[in-house]
Amino acid sequence: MVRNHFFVGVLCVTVLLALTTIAQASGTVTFQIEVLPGLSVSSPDLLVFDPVAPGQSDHQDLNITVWSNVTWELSVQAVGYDVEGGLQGTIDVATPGGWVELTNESSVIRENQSPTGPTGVTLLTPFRFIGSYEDVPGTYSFQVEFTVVAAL
Amino acid sequence: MIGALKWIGIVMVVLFLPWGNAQAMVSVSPVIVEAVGVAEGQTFEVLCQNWGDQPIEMQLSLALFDQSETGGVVFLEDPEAVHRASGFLTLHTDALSLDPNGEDVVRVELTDNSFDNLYAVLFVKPRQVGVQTRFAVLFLLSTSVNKLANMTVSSWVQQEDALTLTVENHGLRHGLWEGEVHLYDASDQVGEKRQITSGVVLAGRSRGVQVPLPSWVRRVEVFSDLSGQQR
Repeated sequence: MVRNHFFVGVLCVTVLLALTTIAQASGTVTFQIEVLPGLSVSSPDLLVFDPVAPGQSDHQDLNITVWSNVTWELSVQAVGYDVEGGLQGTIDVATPGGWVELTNESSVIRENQSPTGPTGVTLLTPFRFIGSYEDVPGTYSFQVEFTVVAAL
Repeated sequence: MIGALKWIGIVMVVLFLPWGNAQAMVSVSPVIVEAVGVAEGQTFEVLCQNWGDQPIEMQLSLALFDQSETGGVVFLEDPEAVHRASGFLTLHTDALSLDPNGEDVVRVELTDNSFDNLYAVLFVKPRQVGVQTRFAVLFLLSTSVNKLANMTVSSWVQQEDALTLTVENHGLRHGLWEGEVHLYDASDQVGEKRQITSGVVLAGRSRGVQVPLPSWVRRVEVFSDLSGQQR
């Protein structure tokens, strides 16, 4: 009788150990994933202002879409503007604080923007050109460069 | 001449040449690289991806950056700053070519670590039609592991709807300020305790931190967490 109980006990322990082994074999696996801060930008089309006479102004809006999983900033600067023989009229860009003249130096137009999520954020950025008597009639062109950066 | 221009002068301005209607989409990651105890020869990698259906060239360049009083990033792109950045960091290439839906890695090597802190920026600029955009990848590198940020609140101003703190970092490494603001009501009782964390403050710099205040707040007290925060 005692011997039978002993064998039953050994059998139970063996079954339990086997079940434990099976459980470990089919157990959960820990995944460790590091998500890095990243930015994406969709570039918009070119922007064409309507013809303006000296002293008159024209507004045009530019859309730029940003995707980010961190807080971010957007700045803008003109490239090749206000050079000799170039355009002398004033180009302004709208910021939350009002109109800011666009120059060859970078101006922050959006600060501390929240992470966008997967849909991104499309920013409507108004530009304003005011014609000048210093500009000879004609067609002028220059480039505007947006810089997107993670906020500190 | 000017009078004539007044009436016949028509100026049409075209921004963002060259012409084109492409809607290129480019991704860069990581956009902040922080490392301490950096050593010469250490290499950092930045992944660039082209999600568009056209091949794209990426122009790469280095410069330095600083921090404004509001905490914003200020790019230092003058020739001296560019030269200094290139003295510490080396790009393995100054251009990348990405196929449609392709990706590649930019490798930036630290070739000189004779600094306490280096705040450098890698510009990644797609050469594309349409509006020009560029990404700024920030490098916050420290040679020491043991040097700490040393944060203090140098001043604060309570206005009707906001509290503005100025946080200074006297330490030798960038870091965050952490503290608590106690908001007192009209009966001079603490109505709310708020945990506050500043953004990153570069070594030797200060930045403003704005805390919105409810209308019932009459006075505030500011407490710093003396342990400081490293990032």
